[in-house]
Amino acid sequence: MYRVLICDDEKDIVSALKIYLESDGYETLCAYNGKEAIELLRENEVHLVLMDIMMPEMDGISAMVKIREESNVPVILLTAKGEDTDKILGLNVGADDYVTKPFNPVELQARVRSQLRRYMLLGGGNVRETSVNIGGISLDDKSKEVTLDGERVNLTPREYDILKFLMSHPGDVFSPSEIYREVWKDEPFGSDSTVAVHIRHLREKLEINPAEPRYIKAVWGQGYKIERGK
Amino acid sequence: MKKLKSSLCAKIIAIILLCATGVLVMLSSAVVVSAYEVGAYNKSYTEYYNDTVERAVRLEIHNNYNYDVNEIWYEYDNETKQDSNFRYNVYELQPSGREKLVHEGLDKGEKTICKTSLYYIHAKYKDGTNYSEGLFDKSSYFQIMEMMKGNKEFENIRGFRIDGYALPLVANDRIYRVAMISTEVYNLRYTAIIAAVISFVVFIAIFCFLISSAGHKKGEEEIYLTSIDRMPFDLLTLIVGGAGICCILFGFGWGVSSDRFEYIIIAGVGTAAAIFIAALYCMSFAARMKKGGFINGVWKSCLLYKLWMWLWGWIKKGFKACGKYIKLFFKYLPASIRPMAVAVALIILDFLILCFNSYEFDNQIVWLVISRILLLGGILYLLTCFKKINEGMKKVTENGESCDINTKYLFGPLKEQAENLSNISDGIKNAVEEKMKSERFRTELITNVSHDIKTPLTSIVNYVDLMEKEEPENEKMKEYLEVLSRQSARLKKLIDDLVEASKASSGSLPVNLEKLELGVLIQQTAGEYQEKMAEKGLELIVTQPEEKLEIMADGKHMWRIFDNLMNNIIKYAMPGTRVYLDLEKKNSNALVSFRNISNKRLNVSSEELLERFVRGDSSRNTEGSGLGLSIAQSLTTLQNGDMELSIDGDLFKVTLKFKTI
Repeated sequence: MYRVLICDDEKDIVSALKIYLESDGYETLCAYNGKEAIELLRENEVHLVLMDIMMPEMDGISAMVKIREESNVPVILLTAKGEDTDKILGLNVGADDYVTKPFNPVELQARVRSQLRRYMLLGGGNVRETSVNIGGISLDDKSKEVTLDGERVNLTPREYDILKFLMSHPGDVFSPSEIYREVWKDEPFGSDSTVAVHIRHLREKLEINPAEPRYIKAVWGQGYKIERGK
Repeated sequence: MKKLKSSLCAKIIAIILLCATGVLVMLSSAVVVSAYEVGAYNKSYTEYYNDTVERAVRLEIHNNYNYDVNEIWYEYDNETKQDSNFRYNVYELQPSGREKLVHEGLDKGEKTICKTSLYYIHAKYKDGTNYSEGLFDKSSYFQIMEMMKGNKEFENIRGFRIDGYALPLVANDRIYRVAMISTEVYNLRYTAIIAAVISFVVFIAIFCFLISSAGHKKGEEEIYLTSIDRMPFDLLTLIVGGAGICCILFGFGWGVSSDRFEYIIIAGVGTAAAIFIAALYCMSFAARMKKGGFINGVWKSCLLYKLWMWLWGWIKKGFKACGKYIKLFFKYLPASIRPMAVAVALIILDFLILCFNSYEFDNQIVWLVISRILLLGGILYLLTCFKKINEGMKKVTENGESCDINTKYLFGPLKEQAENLSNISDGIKNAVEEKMKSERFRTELITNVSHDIKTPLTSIVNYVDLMEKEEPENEKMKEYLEVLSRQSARLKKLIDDLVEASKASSGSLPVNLEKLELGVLIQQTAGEYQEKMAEKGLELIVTQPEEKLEIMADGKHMWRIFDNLMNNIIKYAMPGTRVYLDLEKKNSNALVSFRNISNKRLNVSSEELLERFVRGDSSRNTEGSGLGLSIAQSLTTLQNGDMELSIDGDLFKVTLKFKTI
């Protein structure tokens, strides 16, 4: 049984989170500011931390820095601000994911599940040589199999080819016509949006929240890329 | 050292030492100079002694020679002879070459230790008056004799020779004393150099100490001024100068004929007194300089300064009075007459110049030129003033900066104008700053408030969801929960849009302009929305030119604009119609147009559509925040683009315009 530490100064939110997580079968610990969270972390074995940024006593960012000095437990930040700078700051100091308030409970549960699976099951990374791994996505070219956080994902052959192409050049941006030429082995037709549609499908299959993708990103007006893994 | 500086006792001792070393410097250098003159440094003692005696004898001859004497001379009486070591004979040198003894001072058989000769000439002018010339060396005598013989004015020219002798020095006369002192000088000739150098160094050192200690007094932190230091400095200078000169004259007057030790002592005392006065004077000067520098410490204490200030006060008063009357006169003239008054004054001035110099054409020209130059100067001054004001104005109109015109050199109405201008500019600047501040404040307020709203909203969303999960039996309850869930989602969207709209319109959103291909963006957008549109029964038709159209924009903001517009279309387009998304190039602009047929009648103007949230329009619909268009427009403007909205019956059209690169 996994233990999740929930930390927010708003008691109602903490209890709601507790209900959701316990219904998913996790054990929970509750803290109401950064200091309490760090103390609980020291005393107990914790597999995941859910933490708000704006808190009294010690805010989430400082607590994040403190936690990373001692452990590499996955941390998901809860933020009400939703500003890009806050998100970037959070990820830079070592957070693994973030959720903006008010959050969709289903999305939150999915993110918690994803982080726990990656941390607990794939942490050692018994990776086969024929597979390419980026974040939680693993693509095995031999068996033509794609897994997300260890779970199989069904892709069409075109989607598989696009993903394979993007994953073989992580961080590089490719325009839709470049992707078309590479995957379809043909000249693209003028204003065709086939590639864009396929990308959207890929995103729906691989991302928890397709509107805020973690892996497959659109660079608007230029093309698409897959984020370089951590 | 500081203690020493402020000790009165130390100062008195220093001054006494200064006087003593000063006298020593004077005496030892006098010894060196006189020794050098007679050649003590390159002659043997005997040679030196003989030269000294010869000089003394020559001096005696000079002292006894009398220009005015008609015929020869000076009778020595026997008493004088006894007290003197000096004897002389006078010979007339006749043209034949024979010498005629005229006067015999040296007795036959008297023993001499030194003999020296000097010459002189006696003649008469034609009118019978006497003329005499002397005393020369032998060579000069013959030259002058020839010259006089060649001159017709003289007659009866006679030449004489004086032979001076010194007897063995028995009597205590001047020759004897000179010889004695000279012997001392010879003995001291090297010691004196050392003494002069050492005493000079010591003198300078003590002088420096006195200067540095000037103005310090025991128990006083600051520079202390004595009563001497408070005297007017120029008066002090006069007194000190007078006294010093007296001392020096007194000292040297005695010192020059230094054949007696008593005289030397008197000269020393004179020098010491002069040094004492000079030292006090220098110290006073130093104390004043330390107290207030040259201007405040020295110059302002002068009587001359007081006199000057007094005079200057009167001059200023005079000018002021004149200026005041002219100003008053001007003030009571109406503004329109003022330039006329100036013109009339100029004409009168010219007329006067012409009248007063009517006879002298040259003068007229000079005066006219001078008056024109003055006039030109005045005009240039006025032009400079106008330019200054104009520059200030430019600053205000172009940059909205405050203009600080230096009004020091402006006058009257121009000064007033400049001051008013800077007041206006200050006002503008303040208003602009105030506006920026309030914009920023508003954005900040909205961001913070939205954060505070989001926290309780999170709880609401979560607990509504939890209640739904409890699966209530009551059908009505289910319905109500559905409403709660929908409305809280809308509230969330509203808050996000509000923050975004406020940031976009206040310009506090960071914009990273990059090269962006519009064709690709349109393909991407179409990919995102094609299926959603199909679900709504809409057909998306995209057209774009063959060539690539690139613009400078921020990809994230561009997506946000396209996203908002497409969402709008999905919400408001009539199902079963076509939606057109076109890209085209017009001149150097890229145009993107979104066209669709509205589901409901559009009975509002495009302006109202953009501002409906701000206006609180009652016809707002229930879906979304209604801020989508407004945000899109703000973001477009932020990226130097242009968004136009047009409504033609049921046709709804949005056009985005960006400059291509």
